[in-house]
Amino acid sequence: MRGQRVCGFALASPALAHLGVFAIWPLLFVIYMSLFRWPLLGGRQAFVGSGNFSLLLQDGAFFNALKNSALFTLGTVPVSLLLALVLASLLVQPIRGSGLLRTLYFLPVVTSTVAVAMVFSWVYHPEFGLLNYSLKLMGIDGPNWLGDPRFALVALMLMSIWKGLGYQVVIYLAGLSAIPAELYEVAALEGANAWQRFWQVTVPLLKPTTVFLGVTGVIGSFQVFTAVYTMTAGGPLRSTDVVVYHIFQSAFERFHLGYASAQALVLFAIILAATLLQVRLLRKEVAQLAG
Amino acid sequence: MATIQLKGLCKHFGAVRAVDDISLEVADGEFMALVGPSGCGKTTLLRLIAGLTELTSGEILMDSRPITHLPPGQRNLAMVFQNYALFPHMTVERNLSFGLRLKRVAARERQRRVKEIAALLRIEGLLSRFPRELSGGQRQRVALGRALMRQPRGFLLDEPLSNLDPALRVEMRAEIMRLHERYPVTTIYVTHDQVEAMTMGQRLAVLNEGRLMQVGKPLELYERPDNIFTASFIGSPSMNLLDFELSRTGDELTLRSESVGELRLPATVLDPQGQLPVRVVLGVRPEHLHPVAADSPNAFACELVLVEQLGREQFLHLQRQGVSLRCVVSNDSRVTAGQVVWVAPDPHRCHLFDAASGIRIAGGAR
Repeated sequence: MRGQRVCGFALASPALAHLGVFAIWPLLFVIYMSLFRWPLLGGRQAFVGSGNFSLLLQDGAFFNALKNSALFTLGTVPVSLLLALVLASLLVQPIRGSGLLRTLYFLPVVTSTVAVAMVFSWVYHPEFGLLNYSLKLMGIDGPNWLGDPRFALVALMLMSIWKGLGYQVVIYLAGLSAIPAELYEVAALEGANAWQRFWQVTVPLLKPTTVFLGVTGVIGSFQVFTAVYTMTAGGPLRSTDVVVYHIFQSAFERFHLGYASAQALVLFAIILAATLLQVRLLRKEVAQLAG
Repeated sequence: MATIQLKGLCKHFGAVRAVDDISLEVADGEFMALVGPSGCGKTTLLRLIAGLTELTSGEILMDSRPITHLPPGQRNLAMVFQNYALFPHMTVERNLSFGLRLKRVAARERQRRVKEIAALLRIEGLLSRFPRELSGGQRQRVALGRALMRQPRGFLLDEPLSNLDPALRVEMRAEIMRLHERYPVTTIYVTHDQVEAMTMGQRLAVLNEGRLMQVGKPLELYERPDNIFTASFIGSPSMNLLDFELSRTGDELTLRSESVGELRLPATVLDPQGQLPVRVVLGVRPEHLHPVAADSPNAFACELVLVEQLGREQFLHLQRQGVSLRCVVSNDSRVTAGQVVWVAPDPHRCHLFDAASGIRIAGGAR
């Protein structure tokens, strides 16, 4: 019995060590740091208890970042899920070249975010950008996408949707192919048209897939950083300053590690709550569809 | 209810002829069993009728009106699938009422129908359950119920019992026949199990390699098979088939082979038609190959390899010069494996087939 247990731990130890060093230990250490005034360069560390958190409550910039993250999530996740579902439903049809199309849709996913951001910085350029050029051809005077506080966050959302869509399409395609063809045939024989088959068979049977993509999508959107860092640096006028970028600035530009840790914990709590909520939904759905 | 008429139906998948020029008429209210080995095209044929598979050529008529190019939903046919195809995200009640909801039938009428069908299939207690909470037999009942809900003009059943255990299969077989008696809807029932086909079908259509081999009542097919395929496929244990060379002298047919020797059969009984081929196949059902005394006419000796005791009767496995024969005898005769048994075919129950074409040329009870 004891030998078995030792053996089990031994076999699990590489994974446990990795998790411990790169996930559990940092998490615990962030909790520890959040209780201190902890300058990264020079200065003395000092225990402040909940001081960093009360500081947070008075920090309008942090709330602005939270608001931007929430807007970013609300603006990207539902839209991209809907687009992905529609695209997957079209791509699952046995049309000529659907394999090629699937590959094309997946290409942005495997492209580096920084590279995509560079290209989109040009696409969004107010005078020489492809987007405003195209709009001009249609007689529309395009805005200064990344330079106008009203449009900068929207521009980031559009790019983020475009980049992540292929992944969601692939997951939806997997979900679609798991639906037995007989269910569609029964529905057709019972007199359901294509639209009714989509809403009464496809959508409900894809719910587990949708919830999964929703959970991972929300987590990913709350953690968005690279695009902001490379394209707007949180500007203009903090209009794209999202939580992770704010944490980054607090920690590595203003060197307030304790304060940054407190923000990270708040973000962690928000993501945890959102995930638990969605996993709960998922569990109910999966139970219903099992068997 | 309706008659269903198939005229020269073909379905080719590339070079494969899954359904090859099939013409068949199913009468109003008839229970037709489509039977054949797996891969014979029976399911494809059913899907062509349902409109789920596009046909290559031919015509499908319902009550003499063409439905060949109608979408499945407008043919007013209901289909039951082998794996039941219940919607996993809907309760039994929703599964049953799916078609009526699509047609926007009023809630009260819907509930009345659900109640009626649930009572008929004895699933009233299951209405609020999900398919995953049901046993195989219960799922089967729900699938049958869903097919009955819309009062379709025809029923298409695709091996509906093959996922059930043997005891339940017998029970559901009776259930389906009871339903058909209560609601005599024109039914096409696909199965690979010839016992199922024989017991359930008012008529049988035997398929092989995409072609229709024979259509008829169960006993007709059993007693007078048109070809070697039907002869060997229908009946269990299956018919003995022996190769012979045929010659005719007056009223006597002489069959010769190296393994069995010589058999003389009266032409008056077998009543051969037309020009007789030389190479023929003699078919004798195991119950028509009788153990006889060694000096009886047409008797030949076989080694008894194995005796299967079935209680009411016994099933003898015989061997003669590399040829295997089967023989069913009553339980009175005491025989043991290893001994020599003399057997002779009952000339009134012999079938003769052309070895080349497989078509019946003589014999068979009428």
